[in-house]
Amino acid sequence: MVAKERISKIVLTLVIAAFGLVCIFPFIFMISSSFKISADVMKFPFHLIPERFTMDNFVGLFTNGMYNFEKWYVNTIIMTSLCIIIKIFFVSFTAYGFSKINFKGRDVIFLVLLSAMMIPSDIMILPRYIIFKNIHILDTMWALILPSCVDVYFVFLLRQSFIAIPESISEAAKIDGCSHLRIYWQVIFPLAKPSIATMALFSFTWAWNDYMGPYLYISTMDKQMLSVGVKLFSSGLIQDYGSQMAAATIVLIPVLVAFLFCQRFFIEGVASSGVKG
Amino acid sequence: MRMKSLMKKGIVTALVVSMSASMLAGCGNNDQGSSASNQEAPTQEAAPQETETKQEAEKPAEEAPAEQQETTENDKPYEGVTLKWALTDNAASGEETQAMVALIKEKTGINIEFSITPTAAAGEIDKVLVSLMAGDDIDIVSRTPIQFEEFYNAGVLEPLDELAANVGYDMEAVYSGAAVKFDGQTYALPAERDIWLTYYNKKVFDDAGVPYPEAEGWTWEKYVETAQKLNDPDNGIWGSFIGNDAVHSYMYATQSGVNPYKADGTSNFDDPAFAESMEFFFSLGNDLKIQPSSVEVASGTYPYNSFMIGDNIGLYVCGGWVASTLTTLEKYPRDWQAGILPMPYPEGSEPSSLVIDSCYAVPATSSNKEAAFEAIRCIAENKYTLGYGRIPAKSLTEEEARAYIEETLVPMFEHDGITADEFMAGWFDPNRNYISEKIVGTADTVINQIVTEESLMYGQGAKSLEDTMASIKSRADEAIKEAQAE
Amino acid sequence: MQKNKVKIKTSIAQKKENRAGFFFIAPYLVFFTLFTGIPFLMAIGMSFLNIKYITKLENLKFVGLKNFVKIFTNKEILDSLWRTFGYALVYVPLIMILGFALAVILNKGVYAKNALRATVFMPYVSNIVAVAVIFKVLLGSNSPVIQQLQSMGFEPPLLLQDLKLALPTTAVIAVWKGLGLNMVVYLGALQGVPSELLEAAQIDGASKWERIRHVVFPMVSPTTFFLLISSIIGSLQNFTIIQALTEGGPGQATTVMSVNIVRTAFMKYDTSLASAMALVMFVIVMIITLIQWYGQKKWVNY
Repeated sequence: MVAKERISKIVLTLVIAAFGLVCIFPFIFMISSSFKISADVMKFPFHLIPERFTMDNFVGLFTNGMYNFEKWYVNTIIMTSLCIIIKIFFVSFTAYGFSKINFKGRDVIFLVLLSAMMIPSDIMILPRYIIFKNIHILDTMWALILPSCVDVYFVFLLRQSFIAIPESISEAAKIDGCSHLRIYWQVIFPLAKPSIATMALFSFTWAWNDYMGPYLYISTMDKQMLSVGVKLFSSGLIQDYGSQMAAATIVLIPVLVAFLFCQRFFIEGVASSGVKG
Repeated sequence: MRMKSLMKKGIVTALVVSMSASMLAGCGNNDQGSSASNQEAPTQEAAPQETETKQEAEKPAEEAPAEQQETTENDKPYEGVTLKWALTDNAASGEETQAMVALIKEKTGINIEFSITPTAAAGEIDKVLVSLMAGDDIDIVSRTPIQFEEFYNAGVLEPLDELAANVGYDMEAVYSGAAVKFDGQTYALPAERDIWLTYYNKKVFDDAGVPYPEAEGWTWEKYVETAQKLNDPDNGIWGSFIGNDAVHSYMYATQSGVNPYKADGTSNFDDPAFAESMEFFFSLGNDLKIQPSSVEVASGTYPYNSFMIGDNIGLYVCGGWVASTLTTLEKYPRDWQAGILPMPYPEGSEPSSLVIDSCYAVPATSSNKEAAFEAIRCIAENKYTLGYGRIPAKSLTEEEARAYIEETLVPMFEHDGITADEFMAGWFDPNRNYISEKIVGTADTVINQIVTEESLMYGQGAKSLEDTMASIKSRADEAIKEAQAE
Repeated sequence: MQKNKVKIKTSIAQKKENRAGFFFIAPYLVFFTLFTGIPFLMAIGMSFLNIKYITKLENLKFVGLKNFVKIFTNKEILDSLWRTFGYALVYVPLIMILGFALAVILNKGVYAKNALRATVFMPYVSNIVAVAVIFKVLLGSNSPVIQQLQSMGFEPPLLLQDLKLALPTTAVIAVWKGLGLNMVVYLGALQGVPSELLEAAQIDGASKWERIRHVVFPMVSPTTFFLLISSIIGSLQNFTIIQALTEGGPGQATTVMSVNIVRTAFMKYDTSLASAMALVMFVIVMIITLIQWYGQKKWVNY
């Protein structure tokens, strides 16, 4: 029995590893290209190890004299962190309202919100621009943070995972005389950690990579975000593939770190499951 | 229920407020020329469809003393004014922008604040257009004539004629008709001109024992003939390389002088010249096999810079901007020399090359239009002198052109040893017609998209020539009708 | 497991509950109205007008349903609508099944699971330019795979350049790229499945498959519901990947609604028509969502 399970585990590992190879190929291409001179990036057949190795692509990002790459990095870190911190509390708070409190009209309001997920964002660009302008958050990072905090996607995600937490747990707390605020903070929030970590990971990824937001709503160079900044190395007619890939690498690394960090929560969740039941 | 109706009320109020705010923003810059600026896109005068560059030496000469006089009279009237320049450009031109800002300061005393956004890729809204429509205060913008047409249609550009007349500036003479006009008024000054070239790999010619081609009489027919001599599939040598682009499928027709629009405003794609042009271009790869087939190019193994990264392409036709990759040897190291020729033209027609101008305009929301005009004039006249290998769109006399070539271009292309005469022939030939690269006229952007879709279907053998041309014609007519409907 | 449809009299307790509910959602509603509600209403308004540029409102006309009539009578737009459905039919089932399967396997079924999770997540965050280059070359005429097959006497189609196959191919590549999200969300949900339940089932003699089907799947069904709806929406917001891989081609083979909307809005500058097209998409997804919303009681375990 145990042996059979071990074999199936080995087979599965091999299958997934093979699939994983396909998955990391673009990543390998990117890393390898970022150390190539531009002439070699699109040379086929593709060489994994650069024939003519160079660091110039990376050096060029930080020393071009025109752009303040470090500043963009810092801006993006601040913006993304604010986004995540606000969302963790604001969104989970709202999701609690939509899942654990039985108030009148709850489902109807939630359906209305849900419909907002389906609106193609392209048609809201102009109206949003005008609203940001009128409430004076245009050209500030709040024009990126605030709208992302009302992203219905994560309210939905957290609502669903709060619902999966057995009603009996919050009922018990209620009988003990706990207010909703306390149940939210002391019971539900800790139990939903894996889902909140999931939300944090994806709101990080989205905020970090968001291009259209800063492109449209930020104008001052010094307030600009990384995603738009790196585009300056690849826009226009001349595609400098080497620099482009170096910039993409630099942008991607924090996202990977975030992923590895969030993985911890997917294990912790199992340990805490004993509370439920 | 009460809560709901309350919410509804609130939403409606907010909607009304922000809608009227947007209308206010719109009305403010809309008072001039609302009758002149109906949606109907301009057809002929829109842009320099055909720009005569035969130079009359007197005109610019006349202009110079007048300008000098004025500057001595009132030196730098806009000293200390600060203007906002919204740039859409890439990192490669960053230094050039800074140099331009310094030059504006030096010549006019105007301070420039600039903001840079990446070029809007296909399917991205033009951010500068959005912020101008929302009424943002920007003083200088730069685009191609086709892109400015959209700005003009949106009513965000300031006509320049009066501003020019006030300071006695003759835009016709300085730019010999290349200034961008819509419905009879001038809206933008052209600064740089991108002129297409033929690039060739001298090593491929040497190996094949073919003499280097010459600018005189460099026709498409000769191009094909030469490419056939160079072609050597067994050794992986391609005689020619031209990427997949809508322009390539109709350039033979437009270079032959066939107008893409008929006199009645409908499209002219049923003219046999367009079918021949399409057949000609795709035959290079599909039938003559002197370059990778259309399918191979679409597979992505032949990117735009294939000519520079390999040493297996003999002839290459592309915009002048590609020339700059020849000078960045650290990114594109080569052990061979490249040569340049003018763009080929159809046999039996006058010599011509495709061009695209990058132009400067003053938005209607600018708070200091006079100063902004002074600044764009400074850019349009002087940007090419900064030493980044640009070709000015304004007319130069032959001496001016030669001096510029000797001073800037020849040293830049030292590795390839390109001579002043070769530059004169490719970029400064007064006897050549310079034709707008893309179709310019009603619904031009949509038509270019249609041609892209249809021509690739033909190129990949999914559609016959007749069907392709019929389909382009009917879809283009439809697009024109739609654009005129408003 | 309470059903909230239970008739509730306006008791004091219920009033208290109502107040608490609005206390929890009110801040969100305020910001939501400002940043999404109002822009959306403006877009709806625009779809009944003839706006091209918001700066040009002097010829503003109420055109009623003209824009909508155009959508349902214009062959090009209708075709792109059908393609959108075709794309979704490949995308949604595939990403749902693979996402769940991968999460279950990567939760406990493999060695080196942290490393493998990271690799499967990679496409989700990979640079789209790199992805497009890789797939274009891999599936193109000069690809080593294709050439190998050709030398063996096969006639493999060029997937991204085939009029019929380009659409499903882009959908499959999009699944590959988007899989990371579904996998991670499921992984998060799987941590909520109490191990006692699984152990109990195992003692009862349930096979691995039975445990997944009868214990795991019901426990994560709220998440499945969430992912199903978000994947359907995701299948419609596919502009970026299609633009990178095929630009809507060959011909119009991959010109789906999202591509069409973007082109109408930013190439033809027909703001009103684009809004109307977006609204049509919105209504379609809304109907699908409502059906699922009321159907969920049957299979989603609350």
